[in-house]
Amino acid sequence: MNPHTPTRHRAARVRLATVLTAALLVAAAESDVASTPSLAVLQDTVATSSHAVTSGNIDLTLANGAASGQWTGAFSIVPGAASQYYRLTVTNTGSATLVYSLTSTSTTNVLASALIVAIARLAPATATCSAASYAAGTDVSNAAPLPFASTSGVAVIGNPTAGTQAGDRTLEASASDNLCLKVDFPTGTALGYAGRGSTAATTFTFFAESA
Amino acid sequence: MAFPRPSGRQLRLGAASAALVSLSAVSIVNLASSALLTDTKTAGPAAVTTGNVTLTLGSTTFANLAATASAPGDAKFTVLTVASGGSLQMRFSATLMWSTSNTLTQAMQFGVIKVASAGAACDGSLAWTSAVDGTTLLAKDVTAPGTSTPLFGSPAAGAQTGDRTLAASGVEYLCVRSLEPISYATNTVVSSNVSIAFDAEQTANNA
Repeated sequence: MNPHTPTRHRAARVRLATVLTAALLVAAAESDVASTPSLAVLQDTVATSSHAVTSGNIDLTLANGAASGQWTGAFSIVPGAASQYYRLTVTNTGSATLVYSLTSTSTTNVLASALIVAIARLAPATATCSAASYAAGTDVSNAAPLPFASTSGVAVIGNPTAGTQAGDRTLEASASDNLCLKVDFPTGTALGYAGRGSTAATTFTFFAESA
Repeated sequence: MAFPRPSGRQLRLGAASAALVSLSAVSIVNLASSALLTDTKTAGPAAVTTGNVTLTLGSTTFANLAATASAPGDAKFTVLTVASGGSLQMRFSATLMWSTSNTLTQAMQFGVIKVASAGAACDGSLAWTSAVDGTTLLAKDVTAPGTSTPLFGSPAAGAQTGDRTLAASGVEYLCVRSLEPISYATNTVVSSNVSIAFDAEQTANNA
């Protein structure tokens, strides 16, 4: 068979075209690789040390009252009687410093307005709230004379308005105020006959906020 | 004069002779090429050195931002020294990082003011309430919705808004303020670890 037949020529041309096409494709691919810019750039990363940030809280607790949840408990008093004393310990069991104020609110004004109160801060180790310990303590109540309470509320220590106000007490975390409340019923209050048997159901409210 | 027509044998001999002469000529040319004078010169050695990008933090006061019982309104400050230890100009960004996200981390506000030196004032007297200008006040009241958030600039490749440019061997002093806003009224104890990550990249050929 003659190797130079037209069929053999066509086959040779096809092979040549295939080889050339492949060569061109390889060249084109290489060209693309060479012309594509590298995206790599020099970089560096560094970080600070890591440190804990912890929020604080405030938590006011009351102890050493006349009964659980009470400061004075029920008591009776007549005009001109000796002063009566009642202890209460106020503690900040939170982790942040707080400031607190105290108000007293009564259901009626008749007797509450006739009684006079004052509060002294005793030394922490003083367990007795008496005339003697009161005299040795530091007066922390607002300017005298202070009525025992009123229906609209009396600011006894500081001021419950937000922010640190004059007279507010500051308690750091775990700190306490050992308070001694003195109650007097002076004569000459003009309470009169109508005041017989009056009661003054009074609530003492401590307002605390972060310092 | 008429020449006789060469025969086929004479033509074949003539062609063979011409081929031999050609081969001989090629050989002569090749021999002549081997005898050419040559010379080689080498340019003096020139060093090709790669540049590098290295960011270092020269401050150890970041612990100043730690808090054990942070209260609403508390602010803490520290100066960070950011230095380029590489040979290339760089740009860098900063990312605020929390180990965990909680109500406190989502409320904490961070600001950054560029100051003149490591000993410069870094406290509440600086203009923290001004607008971010990208020159002095680099970040203002930035909060992190999750565990990380850009403080200024962006770690994304290429120049980004807020990125800081630092020349080779350059130094910047950044005063960082962390603030628990007075409006944060969650009266519970939560905690998370804070850090700031700095990402640097070359500026050359990296617009």
